[in-house]
Amino acid sequence: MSLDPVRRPYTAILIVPTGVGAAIGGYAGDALPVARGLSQVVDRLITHPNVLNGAQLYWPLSNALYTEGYGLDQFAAGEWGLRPVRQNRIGLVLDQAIEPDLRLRHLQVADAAKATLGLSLTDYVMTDQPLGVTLKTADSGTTWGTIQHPDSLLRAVEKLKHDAKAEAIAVVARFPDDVGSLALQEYRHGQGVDCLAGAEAIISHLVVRTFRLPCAHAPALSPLPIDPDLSPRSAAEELGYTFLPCVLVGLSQAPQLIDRHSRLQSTDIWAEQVDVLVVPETACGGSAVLSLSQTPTQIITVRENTTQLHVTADQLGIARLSVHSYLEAIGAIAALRSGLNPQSLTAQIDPIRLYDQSSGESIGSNRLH
Amino acid sequence: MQTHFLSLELDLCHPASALQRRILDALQPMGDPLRWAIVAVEPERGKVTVEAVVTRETEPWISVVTTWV
Repeated sequence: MSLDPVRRPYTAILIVPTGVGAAIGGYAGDALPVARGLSQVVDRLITHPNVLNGAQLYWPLSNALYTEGYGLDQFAAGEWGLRPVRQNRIGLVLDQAIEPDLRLRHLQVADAAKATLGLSLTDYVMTDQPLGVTLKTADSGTTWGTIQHPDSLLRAVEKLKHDAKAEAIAVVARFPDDVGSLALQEYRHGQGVDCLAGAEAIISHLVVRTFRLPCAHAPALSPLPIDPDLSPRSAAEELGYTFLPCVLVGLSQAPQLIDRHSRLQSTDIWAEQVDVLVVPETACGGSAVLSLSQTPTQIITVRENTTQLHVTADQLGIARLSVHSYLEAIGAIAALRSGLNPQSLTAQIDPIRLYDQSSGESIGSNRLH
Repeated sequence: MQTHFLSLELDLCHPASALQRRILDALQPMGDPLRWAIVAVEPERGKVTVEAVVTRETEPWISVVTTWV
């Protein structure tokens, strides 16, 4: 292990916004390989469920911090910190609208997680009303949605937190089945935008904002008919009856969310410790990016990961290092971590120029005058 | 509690901290911000479009706390 002159863990945040049609990460946990690669060149990788969740598939990364989007935004703003844990006791909320057989499938996932993975779960709670998930697409092309009875969700979580002492919350809401829709067909073929993503984000955001507990969501859906043209990027969500396994695994070691009034511990992580943020080049309009743009955190934008949006760091006046691919991002981070200017690894290195203080511009390379 | 989807057009400004503050100031009167993002930028018009979800309380959601049996 090389000696890190800064002597603190090199920390990266990886964001792939959900519901924006990201070419990489907009499907079934297909940004997980990116997380795996980044995790090897950093000491700590903070990322969110959309990146790490592959329904039946997941990959335990010992240096990844599974942080829900609302919590990530608060962390980036400096309002909350992250406190790594060894294990969370997970409380499971099931939507009353889930039909009995499908509910049983989810309970069997919970049982399997206890027996085969050794996870700690409380007894589960059913909402006192059907949550009533609705899905929509905004004018921007991003998906959003909501639930008709958010109070019912919050009451269920309150029971788990107060009575069962749950330390992390897994929510399973019944989502509309939309078997014949063009949007679903496109998604299954690795195109278009995840229709469920916006509503899923609202569900977990509500829980995190209200209770400041780690939370993640798994939609309950009827199994789909087999599709021979299923995209590899979407395949992970069609391997089983539920999307729950990855959620339970992620939550089992998700960091607790603390505020500045908490008694601080040496292992706590705050935004000022973040060295680099990696985000798609056309999706720079989120809260976390804006917050960290005002700090020493190096922002790296990835051009290859196109989205439905066209909101760039340049348009917002945010300094960034633009790279073509995540492969290049991994290399750039390795260079930055070692104290190298990434440009020094390219064929074109410009000579140093005179900075003219009066004009505020760099003057050309005639050094004889 | 109810959630509400909003789409706002605001003036683009720099630095990003000022723009973030402007967005939050615009959302606060509408409700408690839950999720928001800039979804479009028109530099030539000096405008940004923000899509957001806010919540508004309709009545207290919390039930009487019961003892776990």
